[in-house]
Amino acid sequence: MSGGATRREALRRGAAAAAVLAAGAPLVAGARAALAQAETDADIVESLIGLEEAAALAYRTAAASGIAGPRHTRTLWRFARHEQQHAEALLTVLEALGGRAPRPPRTVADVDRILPGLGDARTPEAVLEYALGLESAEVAAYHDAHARLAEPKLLPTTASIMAAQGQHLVVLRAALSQPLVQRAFETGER
Amino acid sequence: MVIGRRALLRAAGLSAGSALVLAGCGGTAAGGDDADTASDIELLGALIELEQTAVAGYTVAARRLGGSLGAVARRFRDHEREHVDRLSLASRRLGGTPPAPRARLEVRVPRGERAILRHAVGIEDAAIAAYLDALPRLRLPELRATAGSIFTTEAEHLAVLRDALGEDPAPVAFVDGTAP
Repeated sequence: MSGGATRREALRRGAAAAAVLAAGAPLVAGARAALAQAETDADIVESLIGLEEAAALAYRTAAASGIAGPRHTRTLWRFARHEQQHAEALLTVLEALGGRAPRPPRTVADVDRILPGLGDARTPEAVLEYALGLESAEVAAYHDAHARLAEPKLLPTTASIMAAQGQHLVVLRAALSQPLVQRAFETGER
Repeated sequence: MVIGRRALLRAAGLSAGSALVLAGCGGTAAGGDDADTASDIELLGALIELEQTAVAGYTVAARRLGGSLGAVARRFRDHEREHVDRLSLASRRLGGTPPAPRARLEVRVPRGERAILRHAVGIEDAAIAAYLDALPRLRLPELRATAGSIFTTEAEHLAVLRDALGEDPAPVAFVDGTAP
């Protein structure tokens, strides 16, 4: 490959990365905005369940497409199971709080209303970048929730989930050759 | 649970006394702002000591590890320092006096790359267990958010260390510092 082509490729990759970074920000903003509307602990947990169920379906859809390649697809399936486990744990919490389970998303259009961009992810890099945005959005939502939940007993569950999302971020950053731990205080901000 | 936390704190080089301080903080939930503030200050002090021990551990690890792993240890040490600074600031704002940095904090860090990485996993597991324990005891919402963000960063450190050891960096759906 010539030097010119290498530079062009680097520029192209840089532009693509910048575009995706910009694209991830709305996911974070959307998740935070949805949580901001929640008033009670039950509302907050319901909002988090919606996020987790959308994330689980997004991962299942991305994994089933096979776009990301065999190795990353295995990771996507595993993360889908984690997200589903988070949703199930939170559903138990919501039930104890007397809340009603939200209707789970069933289609890509449902996911796009909560975590937009899944349908546009058509390359391995785009799938991984979308997943990075999704995880960032979840971390941001839990970060905000921790300052708002009135019942302290909920925090160990929500924090242990938030930390798992942080570990997902590390795996996805590694796959995208990004710095693995980007700040001393992980808030999901991109 | 307290015994488990003690073991974890010992793995990080902290004394059982520090573990008991952490375990005892905030447990009585006496009503009123003063009691809440005192409880938060006490909890912050225990977390600051934990972070100071982590700084010392990573400082030694950074000296002993070369290349990219040494750079990782330095970066994680810097993160732990930021945690100390932020938590100390929070303590002072509440009217507390955070634990002073100890000029000669003795930490036992083994030799050999894998042993050092394994020791660092112990440091992070201890931090994760301590923050998970502290979170529901903290009274101020902003402190909870800060502690949650530190907790998540420690989990990210743990993922990097596990990966360096050839282990699954994200093996479980719920991180509590006890993953195999």
